[in-house]
Amino acid sequence: MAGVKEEPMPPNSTGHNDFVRKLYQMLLEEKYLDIVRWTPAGLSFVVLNTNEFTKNILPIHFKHSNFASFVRQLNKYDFHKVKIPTEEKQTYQYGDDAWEFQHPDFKRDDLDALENIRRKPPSKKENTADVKGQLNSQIQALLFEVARLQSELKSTNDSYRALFDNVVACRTYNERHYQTMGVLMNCLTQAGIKIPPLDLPSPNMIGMMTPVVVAAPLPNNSRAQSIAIPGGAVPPPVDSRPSEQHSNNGANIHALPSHPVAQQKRLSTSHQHSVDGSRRISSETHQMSGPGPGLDLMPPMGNTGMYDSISTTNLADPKFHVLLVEDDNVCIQLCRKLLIKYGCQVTVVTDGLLAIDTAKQTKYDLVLMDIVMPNLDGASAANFIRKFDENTPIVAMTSNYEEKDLENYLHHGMNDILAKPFTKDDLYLMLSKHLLGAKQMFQELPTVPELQGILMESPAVPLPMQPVSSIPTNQMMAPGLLEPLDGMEPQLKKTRLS
Amino acid sequence: MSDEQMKKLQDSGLVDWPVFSELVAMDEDEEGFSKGLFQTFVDQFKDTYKELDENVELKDLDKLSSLGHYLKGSAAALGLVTIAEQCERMQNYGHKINCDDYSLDSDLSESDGDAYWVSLVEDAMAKAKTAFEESKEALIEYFGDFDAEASED
Repeated sequence: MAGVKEEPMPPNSTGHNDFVRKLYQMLLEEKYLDIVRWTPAGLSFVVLNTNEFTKNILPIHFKHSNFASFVRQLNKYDFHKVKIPTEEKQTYQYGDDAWEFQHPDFKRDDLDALENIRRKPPSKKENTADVKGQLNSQIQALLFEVARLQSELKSTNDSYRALFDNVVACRTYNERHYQTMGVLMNCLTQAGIKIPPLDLPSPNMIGMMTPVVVAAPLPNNSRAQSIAIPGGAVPPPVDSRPSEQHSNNGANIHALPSHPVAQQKRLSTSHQHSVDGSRRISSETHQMSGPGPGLDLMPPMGNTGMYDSISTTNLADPKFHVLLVEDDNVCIQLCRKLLIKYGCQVTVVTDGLLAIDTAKQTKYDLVLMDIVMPNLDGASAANFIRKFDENTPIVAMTSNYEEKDLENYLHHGMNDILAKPFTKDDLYLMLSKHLLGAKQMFQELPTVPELQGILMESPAVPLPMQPVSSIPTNQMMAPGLLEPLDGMEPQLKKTRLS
Repeated sequence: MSDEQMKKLQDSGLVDWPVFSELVAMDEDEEGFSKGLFQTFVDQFKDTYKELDENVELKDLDKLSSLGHYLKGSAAALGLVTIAEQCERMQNYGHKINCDDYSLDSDLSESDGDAYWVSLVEDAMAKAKTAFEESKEALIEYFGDFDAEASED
């Protein structure tokens, strides 16, 4: 070792790194060159012969003959074994058995740097173990927590399902009560009994619109009018005599009980129901027959930007009745237009929850269902509809083409998928596929079967009084009207149907 | 509509022509139907854009994504391809998917978390706005002014 400095070690003043000094001292001994020595650069040292080193050198310098404990000691001072990559082992000059160690401050030519070599704080190693243990236990805790959350989520999901079912059941229940009340009220009013103002919010308004307080005392006992009041949300000032009464009270009557006739029935079958009783009977004139909407194509609304939660577009002779579930105005307008052109009567609802309600009350020939919607998504809604209706085709309209999702939709009771955006041809192809088979059957059935449903519309805003002829058609369908057909005299029925 | 106007709109590349001509064809039995659709869309875009702005403030990526999805549906239904494209980017970025490997000019990177994705959404929003203005201009040239425009400006 030519470059080895022969100067003696400085007096050992500190003692905190005796080991390092002994090590350095040892490496100064030229007689060990074959056993242990600096590498040429002087930045690391190598033990060439561990046997000789352990047997002869360790006892002299470190008072033991345990190579492992020597290595451990080195590690404590943060020395590291120099790792020789496998591919270089072949050419490694010191051979397979050599152990090379280095420390950034352990250099042959830098005695001062030795001062920087410190024993690692003994706690450090324990710390690592501690940290590992802590991490392990944290992982365990997290895994446990995940499992707990998963089971909690599952039970929450279960209770959500149960709750959801119950809510829907409750709604149905509520609606029946509401209808029954309506029937009772109608009987009472027909019998000439005065009914005090009642606060009967329509169950359909829950969560959708502000309930409208019914505060209309009957104007008088005339039978015609007494029918008119509960029936007509918008009692028209058809003749001058009762009109003031009507205009005061009538506008607030939206929430009055409606008859258990599906709204579509009222709308589709020539409007005699929506316009019905109230106007025709109260006036007992033909005010309605002239400007009345009759059987013509009904433009759904004047206002293109706003839709009620539910609106139905009527056709004179609809071939099919389609429920369109969609929350986007543009798509609603477009799709409805195309459906009407195809000859469908279209009912539009804007979220999944309404879709369930509406589908429950009316048998449709087809349901077109958007997926992403407020309140309840289309897939869940379809799933739910399948619980009470296994047959009506439900077609998902979606711009989501991921196979996994599509499968999921089909799994949820969707019959088919119509990719958005679609063209007229796309839509018509889908319609033919799912409607034409049912056409024959359809013609033998009434347009919309009467169900134990109730009206779902009812604009919340009291309507301004207008001449009958100018009341927008869709508002006419709103008021909950008793359907007193059964209780009415035959000639009245005729009047209404004429 | 003169052929010239039609050609101009067609050449702009702002609308998907098969979709657009199908819409216009529906005016045959209801005058002004297609214009009404675009009017609805113009209003909807403005309203939704306000909501987008609000949710950029709130950094609500889920909401941003769903608004993007919503607007994309309308734009695509009307063949407004350039707008729909940007809306789709919003939808993806909101779900933290860099669908087009877009790189921002800013220093933000994926490691910056939500801030990065919000800036991506903002980028798409700005481009959607531009696409909207262009498309609207072209449509106004074709249809005449929209109501809301007349009242606002």
